[in-house]
Amino acid sequence: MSQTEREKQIIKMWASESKIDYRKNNMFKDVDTYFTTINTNGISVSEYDFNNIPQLEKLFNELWTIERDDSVPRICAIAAFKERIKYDDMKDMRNKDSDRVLPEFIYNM
Amino acid sequence: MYILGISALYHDSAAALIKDGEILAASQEERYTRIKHDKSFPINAIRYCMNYAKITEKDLEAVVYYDDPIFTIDRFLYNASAAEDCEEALNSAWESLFREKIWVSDLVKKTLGGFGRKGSLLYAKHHMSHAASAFYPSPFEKAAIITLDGVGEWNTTTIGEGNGNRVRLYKKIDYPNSLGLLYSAFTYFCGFRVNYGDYKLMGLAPYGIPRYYELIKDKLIDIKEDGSFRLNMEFFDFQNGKRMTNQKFAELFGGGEARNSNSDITKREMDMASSVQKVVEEVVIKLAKTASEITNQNDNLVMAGGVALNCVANGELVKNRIFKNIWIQPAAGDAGGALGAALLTYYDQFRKKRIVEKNDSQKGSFLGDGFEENEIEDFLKKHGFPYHKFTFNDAFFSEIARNLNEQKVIGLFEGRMEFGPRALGHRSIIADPRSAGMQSHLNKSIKYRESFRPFAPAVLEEDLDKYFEIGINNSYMLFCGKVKGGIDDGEYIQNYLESSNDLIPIINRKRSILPAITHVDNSARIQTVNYIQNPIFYNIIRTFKEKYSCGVVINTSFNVRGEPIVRSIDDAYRCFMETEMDVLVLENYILYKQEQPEWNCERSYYEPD
Repeated sequence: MSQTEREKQIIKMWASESKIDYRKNNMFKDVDTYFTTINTNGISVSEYDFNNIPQLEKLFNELWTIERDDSVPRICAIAAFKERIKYDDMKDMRNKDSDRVLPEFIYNM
Repeated sequence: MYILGISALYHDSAAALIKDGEILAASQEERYTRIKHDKSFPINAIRYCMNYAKITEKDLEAVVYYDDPIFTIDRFLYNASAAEDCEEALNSAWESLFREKIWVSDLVKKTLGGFGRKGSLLYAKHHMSHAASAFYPSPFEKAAIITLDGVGEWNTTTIGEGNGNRVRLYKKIDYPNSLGLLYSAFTYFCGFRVNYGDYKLMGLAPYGIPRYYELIKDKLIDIKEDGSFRLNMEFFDFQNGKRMTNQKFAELFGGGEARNSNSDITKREMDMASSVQKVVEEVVIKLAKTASEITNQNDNLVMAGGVALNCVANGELVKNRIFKNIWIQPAAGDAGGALGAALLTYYDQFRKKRIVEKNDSQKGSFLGDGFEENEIEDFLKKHGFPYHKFTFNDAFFSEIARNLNEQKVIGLFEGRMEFGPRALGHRSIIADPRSAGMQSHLNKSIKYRESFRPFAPAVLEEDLDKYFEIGINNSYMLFCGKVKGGIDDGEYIQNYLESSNDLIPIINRKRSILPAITHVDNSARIQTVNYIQNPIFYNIIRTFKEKYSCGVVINTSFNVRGEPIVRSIDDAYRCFMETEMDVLVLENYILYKQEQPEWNCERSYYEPD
């Protein structure tokens, strides 16, 4: 079991019960455009740092657009800190060879 | 002011270094690790950039990553909610997001020791990075911008504008509606590897007819007049994180499974490729019209994002004359995001003045490793490999031209390595395009790849109109045009394919005076070569023309199937010896296969790509 299994299960429960309005067929013949407007507020490059779970949770809360339960940002922040790797040397920064090859059947998103 | 840009952890990891807005160095990690499209953190590419400029982290003003992982996690949560199989969707991306992407600053810090004077890592939005990579190096003071790819954070498509030192994006289309993912879905279903084989699908398209075009538009994608679109997710499976399409998609195209990569390519795949290619072209052209309207100009367009590497669609864009001038970032995929992020930071964030260069400021995209004469001679002497030393004079160029005329296949390794997926004469395999059998020979014995795949021509800029109908000079091989006086074999192919799936007789048909670079529909992906950007390659082609009356050569990347383009002298020699290449040019040293010592090939097969 991975060290973030609990967090994954919580997110899974949230996602499966999510009230996000989602339709498989979202094509509408009666609209003129699917474009939406970008509002960057003139910001092109972001600068942020986080050193603990509350800081990352705050960033998630500030920047995320998705509708979510209040607990989701905190759970994700916890998951991130639990998964964080302590790199002892440069070799650690490389994943196993098999992980470095891109997947065959799915776009890497 | 030095700024380092980094792209990593998705596709084609890369690093790029700029100084006061000038592009100094840029390189892809795959060239060092020899893992094609390597997505791992680009330690080697970063080292190369820093060593090239002889600087340390203390000299950097800023380090900028080309994507914002906070927003990618946002999209990931949406995806998990939307997926039919929530668990599968979570599992497919969980570790990558929470272990790597959100901690990219740790990777930077471990590699560099810090983040430059800024003190923390900067994050550019993915499509802003693409947009910046397209606009800032372009020769335009002002231009409309289109970015198109699979997905970056939330966005898949944007339209914007560059003006002076600013880039602004105005319109967007968000995930899961993605032209890149639509194309990847067809890539997958036609039996090519996603993330690797999109260009194969493009090469296959001319063998087919677009008989599914209306079906795709009716069922899979709704395209509005302004080029905006949505996918019908009833037919796709990529949200679950395992594969691109589902059973319903298969049924739409006559049922059965997606083609297995080892099985024969059938008429169905050819027609699917042709159909989706036509859809892509329609969207790109409509988007360009909208970009022209939004920016209220029709002078200049710049593009980036993986879809901008679709040179057939780009050629159609030229034909439609929506814009007078088009410039596309040669490293249009994620690698170029490293460059865009660095340039965006310098110009847009730090508000630095931009000086537009007449041609462009991409430096021919020759931004990677180069090797000195003494390094090459040391290598050859150390290993005892026989060579002939020349200077870059007429005798040298004549010797190469003579070998080309004698139907020899030549590995050309010269100058700094190209940044981006195309070999442009510095890490290229070149040959005579007049030979009808050369395409098959190169595919079978040199590149070890599928027989249907075409080769590209490199032509002297001044001879472009003599050989091709294209209407645009492009040093980066990003546009397709027609071969003058050639034959479109479309009708012949359709009749032929009624009775056979063997493509070799089609490939070997002589369609023009340059059969080896003339695709079955009489098209070619053309590279124009000028002396200023590419003097050695220019002189090779010029001499070939003067001595043998042909101002065009075949130019294909110096690698074999499944392997990245060669970077080092060692890579080049190894590739030379493990294929049926006849001649190797290492800068001003020429090596002949028959003079080389026996080589024990370490590879008995080549990885599929």
